Amino acid sequence: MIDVKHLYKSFKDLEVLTDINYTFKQGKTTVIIGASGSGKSTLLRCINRLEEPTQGEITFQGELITEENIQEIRKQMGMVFQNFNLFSNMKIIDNVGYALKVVKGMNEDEIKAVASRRLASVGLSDKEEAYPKTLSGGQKQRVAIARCLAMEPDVFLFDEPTSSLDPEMVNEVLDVMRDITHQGFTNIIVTHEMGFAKEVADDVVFMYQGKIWEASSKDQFFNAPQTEEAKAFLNKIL
Amino acid sequence: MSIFDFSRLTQWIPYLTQGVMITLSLAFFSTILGVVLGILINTISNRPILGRLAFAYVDIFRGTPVILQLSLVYFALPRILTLVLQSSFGFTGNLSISAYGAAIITFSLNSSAYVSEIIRSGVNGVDPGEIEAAKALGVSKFHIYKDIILPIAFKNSFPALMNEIIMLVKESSIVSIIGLQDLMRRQQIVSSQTYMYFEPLMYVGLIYYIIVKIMSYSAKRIERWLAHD
Repeated sequence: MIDVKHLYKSFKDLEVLTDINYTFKQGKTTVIIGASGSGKSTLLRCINRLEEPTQGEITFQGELITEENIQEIRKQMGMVFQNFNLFSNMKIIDNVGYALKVVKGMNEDEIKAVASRRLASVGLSDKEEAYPKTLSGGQKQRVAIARCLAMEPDVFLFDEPTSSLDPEMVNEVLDVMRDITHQGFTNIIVTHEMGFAKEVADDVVFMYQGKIWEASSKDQFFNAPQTEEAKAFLNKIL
Repeated sequence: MSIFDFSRLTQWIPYLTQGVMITLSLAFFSTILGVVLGILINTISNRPILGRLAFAYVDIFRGTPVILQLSLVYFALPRILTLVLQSSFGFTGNLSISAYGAAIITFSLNSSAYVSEIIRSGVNGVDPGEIEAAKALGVSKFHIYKDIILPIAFKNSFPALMNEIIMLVKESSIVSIIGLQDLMRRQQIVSSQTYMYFEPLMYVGLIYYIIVKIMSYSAKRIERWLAHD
């Protein structure tokens, strides 16, 4: 589904990704874990080209991702950010409907219907007319997820979606994400929530110092990690 | 006879007050053109060659007095253009520009330099995350600029923009040097005819003050309204 081959990424002199090779499987949930600074988010951001790879290639359903076709490919990839990134100048309903208008060219009635339905699915029907700044972090992240869902993507990229939430709001977001993992999308999740990772992952990618250090099925990774670094990491957080 | 004699001013009040239209229309049109040009300058500021030109433009207009710019546009430019046309195309006429036209051109160009800087800092204040979110949804650069960056930048820079308009209302008073009959010029005319200085100056000053007060009050109201989100 998504093939990463010999991917390198440097910021100035700092190499943050080194020779990444991995295939994200269609319809599966892959969780990327690792310490802060290990390159997890950068890898995710290279996939939809919010970061341009320094070297290497990524293909999406067999098609090489380039600067030219990325806008088309992004329509099929929803991304959920750590800091929600809702459009602060738009009402909640317009946050969800905006891309339907300018990317998909749907008409006003359709947009309203789709956006309302998606907001209802994350339990936020009563916030349609509100502005982002009046919402809690958990509510904002649910809107951000609804905004992606409305576009009906094939792939979901989650970039530490609960990391900037107050603890009491983490679960409401995880509940919505759990739902998504049951709907047949291809999910790639960068997270520090190990309990959640254990629950929803099919595969686990463990990153260490900019490399994929270990990649295996969930059961194997959590029950019998192969590398010392993975064992140490799991010991520290479990 | 008292020191101040406002009764002698009465007959001049209609004449003085009519200057408001010139002052306000100058500030109004120059601001609108200034904002349009300022946005244009901002959109090209990242291009390799155009960006340099835009930078030089802003730098020069901010680095020289507006009275010089006004004199150039009104006195010097028509003359130079005439000479150029005469020597290269055998043009026989004489170009000139109306005082009002020269004033609008000068203040539009001048304020666009300031507005582009105001918009630039407003754009810098847009959360890059919001732009990334739009990109990630497949939104085009054009729509990101139009629907996300500009509205947010405009909201961020609204107080500074209003300040610029208010400055323009006051600074437009120098058009009196090219004979345009704004508030200030009318005061000079009245003073030279009546030898009265204090009273017309006070009256014109009061008008400026009232205009500025109304504008800053409205600005505050609009700011509060914009802050809804």
